[in-house]
Amino acid sequence: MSLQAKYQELIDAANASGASAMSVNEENGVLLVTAKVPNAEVHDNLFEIYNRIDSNGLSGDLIMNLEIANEVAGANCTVTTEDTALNVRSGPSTDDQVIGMADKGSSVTLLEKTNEQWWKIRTSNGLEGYSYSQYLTVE
Amino acid sequence: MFESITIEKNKMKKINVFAMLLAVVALSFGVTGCKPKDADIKAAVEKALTEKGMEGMTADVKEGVVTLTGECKDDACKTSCTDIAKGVKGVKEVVSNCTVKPAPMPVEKAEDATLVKALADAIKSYATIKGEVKDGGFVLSGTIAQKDWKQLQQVLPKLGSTKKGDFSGLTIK
Repeated sequence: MSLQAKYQELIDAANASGASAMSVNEENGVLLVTAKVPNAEVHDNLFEIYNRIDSNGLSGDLIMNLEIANEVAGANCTVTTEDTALNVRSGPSTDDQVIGMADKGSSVTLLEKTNEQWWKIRTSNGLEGYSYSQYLTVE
Repeated sequence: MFESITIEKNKMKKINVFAMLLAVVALSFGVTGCKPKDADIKAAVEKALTEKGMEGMTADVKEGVVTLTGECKDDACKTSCTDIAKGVKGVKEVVSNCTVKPAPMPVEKAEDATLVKALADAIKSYATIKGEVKDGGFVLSGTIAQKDWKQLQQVLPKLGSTKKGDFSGLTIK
């Protein structure tokens, strides 16, 4: 079975949920998929499908790079930590000092996606700093 | 009877003198004529080296003593150059001033180095797993909690690897 056939359901789901600029390439035993998806929900859903097709994604035969369209400068985000408030730091790393906190459930403004893991934000108090993107969901 | 002996003696004398003269002439020829000139030796040595593929070598010759200068790619090449020079007519001795190029350091491909750093940063917060880059693909091993794997899985595709990942050593708790 070709990899494209293996992941056909995933590709179909991506298309159905409004993915754009999609490219699918099979080379050297791996399927490379890149696409722009409208929001984090679609993104998470596609990963769920992936994990179902390939039990926990442990085959390593799919590299799916999804860009979330609404994650842009100026977007409003909700702090989606599990319980605690989110650290806001002076730089994009856990080596940088904590300069403030953003409460769980509060709204912050995305200023810049510094990298995949760290975003520069502005809290409702006007505090600007860097927080772990995993705990920020674009509204 | 005695006259013939005397005549023979005289003849011998003449032959001896002639032979000696011949020898002297031959010797003098040998010292200046038959032996190649230094300039000729230089040209011959440099030509021989070039023919054998050793580029950029210079031979300085003084009275048949050749001093080689240049850069050799390794020690074997250096020995070879000396031997080639020795084989040239008129060369009395070869002194090698050849330098050997240091062996190039094995260089980690630029893409691999970037991937190594990207992977290290990505797994920094998951203490119980190890990761490495092999032929451009990520190799992960160790144990990881399901929810952590879910996050890491979404970060990995963004790091730039386009090769199959090897997660066979990974245990999901």
